[in-house]
Amino acid sequence: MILVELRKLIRRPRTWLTIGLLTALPTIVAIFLATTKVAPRPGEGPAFLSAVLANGALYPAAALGIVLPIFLPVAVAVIAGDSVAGEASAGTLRYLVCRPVGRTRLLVAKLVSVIVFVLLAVVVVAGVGYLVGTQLFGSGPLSSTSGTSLSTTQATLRTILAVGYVGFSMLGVAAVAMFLSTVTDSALGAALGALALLVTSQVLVLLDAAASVRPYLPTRYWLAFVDLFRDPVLWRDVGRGFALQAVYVAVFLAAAWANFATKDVAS
Amino acid sequence: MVSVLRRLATWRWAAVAIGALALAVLPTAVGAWPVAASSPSPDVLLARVRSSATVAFSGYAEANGTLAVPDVPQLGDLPALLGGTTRLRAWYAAPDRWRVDTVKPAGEDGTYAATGGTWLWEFDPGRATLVTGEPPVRLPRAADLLPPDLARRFAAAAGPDELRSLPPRRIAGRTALGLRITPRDLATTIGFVDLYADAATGLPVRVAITPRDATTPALTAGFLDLRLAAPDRVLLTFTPPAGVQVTTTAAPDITALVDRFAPYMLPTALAGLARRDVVAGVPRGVATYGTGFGLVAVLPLSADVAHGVLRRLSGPPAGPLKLDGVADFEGSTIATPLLNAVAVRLGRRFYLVAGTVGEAPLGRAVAALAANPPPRRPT
Repeated sequence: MILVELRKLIRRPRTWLTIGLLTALPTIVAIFLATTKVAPRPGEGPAFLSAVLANGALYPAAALGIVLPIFLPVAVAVIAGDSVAGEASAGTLRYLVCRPVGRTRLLVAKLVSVIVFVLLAVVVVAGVGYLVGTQLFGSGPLSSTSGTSLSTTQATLRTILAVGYVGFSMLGVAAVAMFLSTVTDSALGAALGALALLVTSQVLVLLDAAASVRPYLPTRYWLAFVDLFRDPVLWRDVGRGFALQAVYVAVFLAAAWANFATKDVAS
Repeated sequence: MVSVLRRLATWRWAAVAIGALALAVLPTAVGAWPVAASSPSPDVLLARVRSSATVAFSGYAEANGTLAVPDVPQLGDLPALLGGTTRLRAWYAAPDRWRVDTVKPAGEDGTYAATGGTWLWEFDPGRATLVTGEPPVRLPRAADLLPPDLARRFAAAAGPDELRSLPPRRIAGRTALGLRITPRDLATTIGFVDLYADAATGLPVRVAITPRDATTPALTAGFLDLRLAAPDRVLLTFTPPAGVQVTTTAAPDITALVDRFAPYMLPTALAGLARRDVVAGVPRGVATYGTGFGLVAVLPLSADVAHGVLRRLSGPPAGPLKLDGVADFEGSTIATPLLNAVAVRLGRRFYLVAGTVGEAPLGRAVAALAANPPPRRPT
């Protein structure tokens, strides 16, 4: 079942088109930066963008920072929102649930497929970011945001951790979109529902009046991947980010399971 | 069949709802777990706080201010420190060996104190500065908002009749004993200061300053993570990374600059407030007045600096200065619940008068400077 879903994911042109679009934005930004040599002013713009002119090896992290606020969650919401509702709207869901596999297994297979998409997307964005960054800006030894030098092993390890963290941060969005996908037969409706939650979260994160709920908002710790480049690493928000996403995944997948396992599938 | 399915669905949803509720309530339940600790008397706790500068620690703290101070370049980081959230990482070995990083969303600024000087590191734009010397008077910096530093300043000014105990709390995973300082000085804007110190060492872990007639603090600083052990020496040493711009500079001595451009001999008392100099030795052109928590600082300004300040304070949140009985003046006031300030031209002289007192005592101090202009220092 899982292999069937993965094969479907890999063979769909939509998957690669989405990942292509995700890598296009950081590439366009890099070309503008390399051409004009005008970096954002200190403290402005996405994370690390003003530092990449001096060292292109930082561009994978900058590329993640560019796609993280909007592009990546939109892509994840669209793919995850389509997972069950897409089958329903195409009229294939009733055939899927007629097969001798449980609905829970079907849901798990869909989830694994979404997770693979998320990981694939962030790895490709970071990989293309590295190639584009080192080609356009050159590369040198990386230093942490604290000003200490990082060995090649440390820099590679931290970049891999950042990629993993950003990927994991998207799983909360995926879980919400998957839950909504079991509620409605409209893939677009499910994706928009997940995006509505994200926009609400991003607005509330910036609002001092909402400080009491801030630690529970799904986007609260997204930018904590920057903390992996401090020396020593600031694990506080990274740990909380992992834990919060795990809670969102657990709660919304459980809700998706509770809804889908006994749902009357007619389409 | 249908009723069985419905019952199954109900059980599933109930299990999900209970699980979600448990996960949502867990952090609150852990935070509300009662703390059992025997509190010493308030003056004993105050003494432990005052002598806590030798306690080594490392940790993460956040400071949050709600004071709207106009963004005037001459005030340095003060407006941001008092009017927003500052995230701090600290490694403290001794009063002259520590490091404090101001954590920013996309970088950080680091301060490394050592015997040879203080290193300042700014990730964005990638700049390292070695500042030599320690001036007697300086503008506030982020490290001043660390709970131990901030708390010891208030503890130093507190008297035994201004103290009362607060129930213990758990802060940054440690049992903390509480102390409320309520200033007896009615002129000060400070209503009370709640201070919590680690039960084992006396190290302050949280400070909350509430203005007079207010119920919520205007400035809080507290640890969220804390480890009581000497930090690794490597963490306190800064070596500029290759390729960054490195500058060496002497610490700006504000009092020396004032002496040079506005060499006035400020009086020993101002509007009934006694002078309390922060600088030992010869009298300088910068003075502080008042006792206890009601503090007034007088800083003469050069004409160039004063014009820049007055221009920046020409609109909200600053307001026009009103002075009774003074003829030739122009000025602006900055009024916040805790800190009030006046930038003023009195005849051909310029002053910045600021303090933790109400607008009326501050106005009287300015009027006194207008009525009796301080004489120039003989050259």
